[in-house]
Amino acid sequence: MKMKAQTKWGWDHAIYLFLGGLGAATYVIGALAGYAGEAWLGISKVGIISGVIILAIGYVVLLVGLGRPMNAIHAMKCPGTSWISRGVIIVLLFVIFAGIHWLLTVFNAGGGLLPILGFIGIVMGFGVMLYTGFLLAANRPIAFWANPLLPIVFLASALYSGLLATLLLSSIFVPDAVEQMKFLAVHSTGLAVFLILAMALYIWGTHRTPEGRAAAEMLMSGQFSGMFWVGVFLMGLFVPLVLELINLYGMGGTAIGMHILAGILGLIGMLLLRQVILGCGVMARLQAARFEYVLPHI
Amino acid sequence: MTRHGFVIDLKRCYGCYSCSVACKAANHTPQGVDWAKCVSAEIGTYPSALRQMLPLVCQQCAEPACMDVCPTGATQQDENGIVTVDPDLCMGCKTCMMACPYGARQTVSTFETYFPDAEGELDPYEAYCLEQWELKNGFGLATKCDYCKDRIADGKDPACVEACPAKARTFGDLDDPESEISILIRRNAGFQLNPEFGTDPSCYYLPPR
Repeated sequence: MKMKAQTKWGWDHAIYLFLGGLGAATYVIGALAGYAGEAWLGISKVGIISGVIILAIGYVVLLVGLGRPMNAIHAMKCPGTSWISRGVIIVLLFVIFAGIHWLLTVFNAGGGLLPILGFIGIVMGFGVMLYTGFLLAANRPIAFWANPLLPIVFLASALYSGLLATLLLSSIFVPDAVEQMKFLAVHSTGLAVFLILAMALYIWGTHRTPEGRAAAEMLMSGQFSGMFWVGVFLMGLFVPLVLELINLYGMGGTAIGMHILAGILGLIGMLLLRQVILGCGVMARLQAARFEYVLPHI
Repeated sequence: MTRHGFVIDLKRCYGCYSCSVACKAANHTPQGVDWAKCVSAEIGTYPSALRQMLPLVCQQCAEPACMDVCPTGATQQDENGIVTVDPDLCMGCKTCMMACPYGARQTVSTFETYFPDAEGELDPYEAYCLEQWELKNGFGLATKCDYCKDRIADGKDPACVEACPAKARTFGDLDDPESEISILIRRNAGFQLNPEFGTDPSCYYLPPR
């Protein structure tokens, strides 16, 4: 019997999950760079300023996608059980601290306050990157999501896309920071390899249930296989990895164009990763005696 | 305490969809919303093939997964175990739809007429249904079956129970060991759907042939 995947969480959710993780990670990289001394100041500003803007855009996308956006004011009511409530609280704290950090950075103010704000913002930023994974993993009828490795995949994907975005924007706004960009590029290649391994383990871990196997089949050889192999694996991970390796070890890390190309391809790939994970959310079948039923219209 | 529950006898259901139609008429659900669904499955091969219907309503779980994940507190459980949605709180995030193993939560964002080729105003019955739907539920939120709680309050059975021509559905109190549904469950090895999700549904099924 052909099993069906959920269709209610689509591109709008994928875009939010992507921008939320990307924004938080870009900010975190910028804030961390702020601790690394004068030479990193330009990259730190790029990360902090763009990260908060990206996350804000993500939240607008999420709000627009809600059935009743005006009721989102109540979304923090159930942090005891709901990952959305927890997420809203984490994002709110992130926006408050990262927002103040952002304002002080834009106006070159803050002085001794910046490291403290940066530390709190970094902690909250990791929370934003992780909670979306837990939000999906809490849905037990969808075995493909209810996987403890999903938050790790989302965290690694967010950090990887954050590094690529920082590289891309730094290539445009602070092109002289060659050594710093080389450092970021080395870490982006490491994260690409880690993400490939984490995704392999994640997909392998879905084989315990029939719906998990159906989802993995949908991803690897079914409806989403083109998007997964070409979009996520080739465009999002493999090509940026090769480009950065050629740039680092063949051209001394000086090819700004390669950072930009790797960044664009990698970011598209990480957006597609969120979409294929949502799209492969196959619901469990209902069982009544010897019969198994597929739920319609979910 | 009372715990409202259902027993659905799979031996009796022959898939006439009277329950679906009665639910639509009683609750004025628009296109795209079916609180009383009926799905089918087949096993075996000719000449030993079997087809079995499975009528679905909200399982009114004692431990509702949809309520746990609801961020706004819109999904609530009353003292009789019926899970309801407060339209003034639901923000339409659809998380409950992902968490419910039984597909009981349904959303519809806009109204679609059953007669798209008709010109002019809506058919009076459709206009009435639309008005009632907007009054009690509305668009954009994740709605669900509430066992026709207004009818129960008036001492009636839910609409799908009353309409079932095969008397496959029985409504009653699960907490009363002498109620008809408690006796049916005990005597006929009644079971819950997918108990592995730990939601303790209040809807029991009696085995098929």
